[in-house]
Amino acid sequence: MKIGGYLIRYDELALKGKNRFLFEKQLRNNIKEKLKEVSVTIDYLWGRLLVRCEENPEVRGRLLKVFGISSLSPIVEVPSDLPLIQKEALSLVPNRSSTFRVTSRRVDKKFPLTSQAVNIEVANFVLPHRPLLNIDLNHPELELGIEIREEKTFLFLEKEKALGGLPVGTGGKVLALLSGGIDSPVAAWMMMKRGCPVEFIHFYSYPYTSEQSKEKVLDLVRHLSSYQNKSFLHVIAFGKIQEEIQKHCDERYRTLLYRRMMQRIATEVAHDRKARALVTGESVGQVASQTVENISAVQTATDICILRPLVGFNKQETIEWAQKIGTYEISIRPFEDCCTLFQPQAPATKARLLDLLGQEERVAYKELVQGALSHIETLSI
Amino acid sequence: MTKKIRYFDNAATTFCAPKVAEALAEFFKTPHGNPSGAHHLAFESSQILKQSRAFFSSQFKVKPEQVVFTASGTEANNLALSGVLQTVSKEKNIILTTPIEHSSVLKTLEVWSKKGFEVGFLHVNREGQVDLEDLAQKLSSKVALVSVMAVNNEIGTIQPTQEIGMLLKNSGYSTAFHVDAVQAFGKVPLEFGSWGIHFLTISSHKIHGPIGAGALILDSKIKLEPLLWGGGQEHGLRSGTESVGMIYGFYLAAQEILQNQNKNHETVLALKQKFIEGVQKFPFDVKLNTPLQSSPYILNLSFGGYESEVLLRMLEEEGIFVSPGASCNAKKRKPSHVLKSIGCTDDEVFSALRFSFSPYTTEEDVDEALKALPPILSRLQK
Repeated sequence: MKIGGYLIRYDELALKGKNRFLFEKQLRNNIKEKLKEVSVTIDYLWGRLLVRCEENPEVRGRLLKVFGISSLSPIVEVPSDLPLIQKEALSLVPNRSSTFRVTSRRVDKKFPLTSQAVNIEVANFVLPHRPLLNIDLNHPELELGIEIREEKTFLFLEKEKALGGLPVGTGGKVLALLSGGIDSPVAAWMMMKRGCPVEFIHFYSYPYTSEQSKEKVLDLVRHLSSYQNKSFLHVIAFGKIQEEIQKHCDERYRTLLYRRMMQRIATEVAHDRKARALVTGESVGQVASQTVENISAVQTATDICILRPLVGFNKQETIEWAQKIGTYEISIRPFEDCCTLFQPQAPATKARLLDLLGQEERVAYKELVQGALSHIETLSI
Repeated sequence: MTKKIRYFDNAATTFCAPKVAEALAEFFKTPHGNPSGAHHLAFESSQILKQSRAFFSSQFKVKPEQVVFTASGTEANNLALSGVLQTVSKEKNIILTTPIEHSSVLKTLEVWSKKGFEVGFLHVNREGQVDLEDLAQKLSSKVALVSVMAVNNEIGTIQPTQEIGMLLKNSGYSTAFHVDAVQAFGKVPLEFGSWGIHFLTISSHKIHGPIGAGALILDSKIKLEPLLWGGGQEHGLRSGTESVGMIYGFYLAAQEILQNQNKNHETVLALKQKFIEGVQKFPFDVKLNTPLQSSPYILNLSFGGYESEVLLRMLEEEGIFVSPGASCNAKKRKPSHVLKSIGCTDDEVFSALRFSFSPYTTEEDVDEALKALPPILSRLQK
């Protein structure tokens, strides 16, 4: 079968009223950028895009990583003429034992038959040649799709579900805190799915962690980048700050104090990069530092909006997402991330803000923040 | 400003000696043929190979065909062990070794233990030395092979290789004796036939030669099956085009290190002594894991329970490069089997660093390391 391209559907976009044009344009640009090394053309159709190219698993794989696409179908094209549609339908439909239906959609209302009539005409033509097929209109195993347009008619048997969501670039930019663990990459991905371009910030505890731990974060960003077109990673030297907190503050508050410092630094970076929110992989109750009390005591360190897309997830749910996204295998590499060192034996689970503020008095936290900000390493990926 | 490199990881690999690097740069710039080929360029390559082989054969007082070049020490160890175990008679089904061998010996023997051989471990004392009485007791006509390393790569223990060789020879059991001499060659006294050794493994990149060449020295009477089949290079024992450049570099490096072995020994020993005396003056808990009588090139110390990888990276910030325990274990977070075998506690194992020296190590390097350590240890002190 020689295909004419991939038909791209985007259901959610169509709901966006006046902005629809902008969303379509962004989606088209994102697809174009994603396929820039492959020779394709992209046509606007009514409520659809058509990526014109030959059958190419590489193109298909890339399209399946573009947010905003709800499904795609490799299509065959014929002139909008019933006998030709019938003939092509027959060559497309295999003779195997399964349930079957024809679903037509008539975009060109000048076409002489209604959609329902086309369904019947095509089915009546195909079925005598394909005796193993049985019609089932409700739950067909095999569905032949037909889209009748003025210029051409598309036929397709396959409709692959894609990521959905909104095209990256239609939302505001955010800055995701990336630790190297399982959760934060999923959180970042969830924001991309809502159309937000994501930049990343990593707190690097060298010399307490190895260069491999940074390489792991880089690999995560490289992987996540395949869902948006370009990424920036800001690496912050955090070892010194941890050392100071470890030396001067109560052990049980350590993790929370680190997190407050991270949020302060991240806020500054976000402002600088024109990102409107921070993103974390926190989920209520998952670890001691993520109780509601602790999350709320920590977040007073900054006034920027903090988005927590995993807040209601179980660990297993996050793992399943990470596997689906492809970050899980990278996240579980055995290099320690900065949170596992200096971890308190018995962390505070219901820290009071006053206590945290008191602890912070013991270190020159403003200077530490400034010191970290003066040595940012920004990598473009 | 980047700090000057103070390199204390010579047991992992050494920098190529300047003379060797220059000769190799020249070699790779010049057209050269396949040593098995028929034309003049091929002949020239075969001459380089012949010259290199002649050097090692005269060094170990063997015939040229008793020198088999490989790509690494690991390959030479594999060839010796698997090569001989494939040929031994059925009654000989015991292999004796020590628990502190290199992984290329231990893992190979583990494979053979699954094929029906019994692997017995000789007792080593707290200094890592093989207990000769234990060996005498375990020896029997059923022992096919004994494999003991000449110098331990993690702690520097020098094994009584000659005594073991003599013990085996006098037992009359015709047991093959393999010695992994990767950390010994060019550094401590080492002989072959006169010590009763049947297979000896050496490697290029531990003696300032290039990475990518090793050799197995063979007894003329022992039969060996190759691991690689093909063009029949290396007297049929190691098929595959010889890596002429690497072998040539190995030869040049060996020539240099053997010429200076005694002088180097004195210099390096003095550096190691200075290092030990230096750390013993620290107001911190530093334990010496290396035996007093050991290779001057290796010094293993434990630092009061502080994570060795953190210490390593803090030293690296000062331009000082070392290994945690042993470099082969650096990526797997498992305790060193060597330090465990000599009775170190977990704290000692996980806070161990190996400083390994070379003739290129300077007194200034040692001074800098001694200067860098105390602030790091006090930084880590809680």
